[in-house]
Amino acid sequence: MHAINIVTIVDVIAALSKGTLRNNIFMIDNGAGSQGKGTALLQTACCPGQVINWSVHPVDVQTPVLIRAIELLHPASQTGENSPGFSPRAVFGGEPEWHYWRGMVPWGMPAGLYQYRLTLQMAKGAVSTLYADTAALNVCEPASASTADRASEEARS
Amino acid sequence: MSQQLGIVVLVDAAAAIQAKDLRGRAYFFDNGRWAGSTGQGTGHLVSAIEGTRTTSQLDVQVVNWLPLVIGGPPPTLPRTFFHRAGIGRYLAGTAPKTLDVLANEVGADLDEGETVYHPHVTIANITGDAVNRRVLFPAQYGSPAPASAGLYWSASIDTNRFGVFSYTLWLTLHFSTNENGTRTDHAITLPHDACISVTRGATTNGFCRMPAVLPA
Repeated sequence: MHAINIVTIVDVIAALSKGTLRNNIFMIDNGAGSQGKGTALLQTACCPGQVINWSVHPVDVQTPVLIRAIELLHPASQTGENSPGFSPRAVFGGEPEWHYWRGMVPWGMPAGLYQYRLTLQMAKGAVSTLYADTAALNVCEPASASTADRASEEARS
Repeated sequence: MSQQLGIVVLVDAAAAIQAKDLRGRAYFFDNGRWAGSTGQGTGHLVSAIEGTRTTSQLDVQVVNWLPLVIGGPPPTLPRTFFHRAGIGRYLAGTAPKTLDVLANEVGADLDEGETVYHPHVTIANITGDAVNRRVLFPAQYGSPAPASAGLYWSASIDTNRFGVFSYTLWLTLHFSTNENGTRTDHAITLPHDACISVTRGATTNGFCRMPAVLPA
């Protein structure tokens, strides 16, 4: 099962000026069947067992932005029988030192729409860390996972 | 002082190569929403360029294109990131110029019949109406960043001509195949249109609340 990449584009100057990520972030993924590509309302179609990578880019060349946290908004709703829970985290990415965010959709995660909070840090200080609750993971039925996987594998190769 | 406008072009490389078409598989963003840019997050970006300059009517707006592939390593990584795969081989041009997020070479080991899509895109050219009419003056610069294959595109805009002008970005994508034990590296260059809209609006900056225009 190939990994899905979710890219968030941030207009950092607008976000810091207005103090909100509203209208200032755009999210895209390279998964098949996702909805809302190009908006903050991205719903990423994924299956249990699939790896999801998050990355973030500023829209101009001079402003830094990094992911501070990715959390499911309603963690209680994801408790499957044997679900270990969904916990994306920063992973060491390579030399010299950089981290990217990845998480695996747990095998026991029931199908459904899971909104998550994306927290971005753009500078140091009180109002420089902002979050958006708009994006979601659209987890498919475990039974159809193999079918969706095969379909997306065909689409990839 | 000219203001810098950034235009990010995010490409779903695998989908675009399979379809041999960038339409619907490239997403454009700029930081000009405050000036009235529309179509961010789609393939129909119209970048607003404020035509009334605060310093001189001869002043120009500068635009920078930043093409990226979904799933590629960030272009802002320090150069030492690329040492892991051997910077010497990059400079000698003997290695594929693409690394994944873990600094591993993409497509180093290809199975029979396998195809890999490199998370890597470069701008090959910028043409079109805006260029022909001499509104948009694109230029390619050398870049020391291995991630951009040594290319960097930027343009200045003649802000004396109001209106909407289209231009065509030619983007080069890469993929590798292995058929009958023979590995082949392919490049494909595909066009995608975008627009600039030179308006009569006046530039503002962080130091003046009102647009300041020099007296004639």
